[in-house]
Amino acid sequence: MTLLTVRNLSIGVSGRLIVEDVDLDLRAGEVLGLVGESGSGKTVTCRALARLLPRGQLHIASGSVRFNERELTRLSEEEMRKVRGVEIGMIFQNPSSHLDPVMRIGDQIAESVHYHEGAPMAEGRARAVELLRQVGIPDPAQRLNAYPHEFSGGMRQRAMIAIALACRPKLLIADEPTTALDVTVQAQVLRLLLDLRDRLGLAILLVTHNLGVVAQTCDSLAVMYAGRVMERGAKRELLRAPAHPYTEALLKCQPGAAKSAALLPAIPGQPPAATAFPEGCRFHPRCPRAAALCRERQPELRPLDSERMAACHFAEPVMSAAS
Amino acid sequence: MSVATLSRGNWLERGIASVGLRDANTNLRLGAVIVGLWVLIALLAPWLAPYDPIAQDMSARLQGPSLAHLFGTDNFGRDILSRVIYGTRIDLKMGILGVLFPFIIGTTLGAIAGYAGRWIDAALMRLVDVVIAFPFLVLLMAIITILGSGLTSFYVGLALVGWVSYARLVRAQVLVLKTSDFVVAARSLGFGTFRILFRHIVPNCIAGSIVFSMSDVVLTILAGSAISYLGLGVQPPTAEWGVMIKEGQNFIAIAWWITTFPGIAIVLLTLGFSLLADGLAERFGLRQS
Repeated sequence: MTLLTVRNLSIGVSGRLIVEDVDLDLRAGEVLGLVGESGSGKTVTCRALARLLPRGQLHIASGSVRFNERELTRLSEEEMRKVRGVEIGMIFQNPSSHLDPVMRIGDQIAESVHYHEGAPMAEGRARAVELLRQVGIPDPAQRLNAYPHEFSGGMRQRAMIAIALACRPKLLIADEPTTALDVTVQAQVLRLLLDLRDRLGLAILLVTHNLGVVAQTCDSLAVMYAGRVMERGAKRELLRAPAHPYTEALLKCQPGAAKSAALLPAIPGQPPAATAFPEGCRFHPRCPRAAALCRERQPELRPLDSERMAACHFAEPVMSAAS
Repeated sequence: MSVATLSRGNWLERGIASVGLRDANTNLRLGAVIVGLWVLIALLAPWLAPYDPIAQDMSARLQGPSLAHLFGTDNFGRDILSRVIYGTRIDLKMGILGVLFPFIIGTTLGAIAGYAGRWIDAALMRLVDVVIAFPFLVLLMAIITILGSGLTSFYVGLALVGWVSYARLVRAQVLVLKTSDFVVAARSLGFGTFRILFRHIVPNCIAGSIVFSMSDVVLTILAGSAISYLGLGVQPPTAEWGVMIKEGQNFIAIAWWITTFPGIAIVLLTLGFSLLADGLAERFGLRQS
């Protein structure tokens, strides 16, 4: 069953579009990785799904977000508040700054239960103990009374996950949840997310710029560049045989991808600023395969086979060359 | 010289550490002790005061400090010590209530202004500018004169004048905090504006206001004494420090104790609150120790 369907989502800021025509599909119990360089529009897309774009600056220009049989873009703010927190949980890149520094961890978990389900705070705290145990915090009953600054970085991220899961959401949007953590803790948090997915049937939208994270955790992938989805598909096939030169280039930049290189290869050039997207394909100035057609016409995201879609005029040759 | 100072410093430090004052924060503890003692005096006034504070004894007028009257007596033969002790009740209450109302009103309005922005912010802040443009005591006196003298008018006047400082303090903090990450996280949990503002933003920016309120207590007690001194606040024969100073000033040349002891009381009480303010500022990390 498809839980989340995003179609042609575009996000505008003062007359320009910084995210254009994003399509995403996410089934219950699935982990979808949203990959791209910094500034490619991943975070903004996530915020838009929960309608949390900063007011008066960014707005959803067009497109549809269907979640659990409902069109989120048409809900009132009141109805949307019930979706957030209850059906969609969010966790963020920097757990230290996303927790309320002067509120006890237990209260932060219980608060959401109290607010959305009308349960007394005591009952919320009881559930908080259970949640803290689920996310692997030792001695949860004691930790309930701790403040965020008494937790380590990894524990804070676990606490944030517990808060996001307090009302048993169906979808967890994880915006670079491991970026601020060191590598061993990263692996633990990712394992925890997968574990929760298995136990709770949670769907996870995992935003990351780390392909290693993607390879470990995701079922399917969407690669974003300059505000557009370049390629979508199942993880295994996509990583094995990318159909878009950008994905191909990203994979080459992974440590260990090149056999003997002393220096890690990099994609030449810079990603374009949102104020100056190039004509035609947005990746063409940096693309090794760019042809005249790429400068003139923007390729649409088109299906290559049953699962794979790519936005490249030369997707088929790229894919067959890779495999 | 320097060696002597150093070793003495060490001796002092060790002394303080041995009493357990060092690790926390000396100002905070000292301030809390002083204010605590005053609160005790106020609570226990009927048992501590040797005489009735308003009972006159014409046979014992203008007596200097003695064993019978430790702080002496005034021109009606009333015991100054008893009056200072009873005065604590009124001055402490003035200081605390006189700060409580402005604190609540100012914090609420400042938070709303900062979070709502736009015309609500503009309107409230222009109002703040207008109130701040007037000299504090003059405006307070004008309001009390209009409402009629007495403590109730004093509180109302203070609430009308004093909230502006809190509003400014809180608004500035809310402006910063409303775009902070934990507010985004709170919104992602689907909380309403009211809860986000008063349960998450305000508790995070209240420390500065609490520190300020402690020094504000000092100003309020001084203002209360001044207002009573001017005859607009507490009315004689009630024992209040400002009133006592006023009544004693005619006799200052022949009976210094009538004005001096309530004056010392004001100094000691305000000192306690000042230390408390400094200590809290240190504790909240608003200032380097």
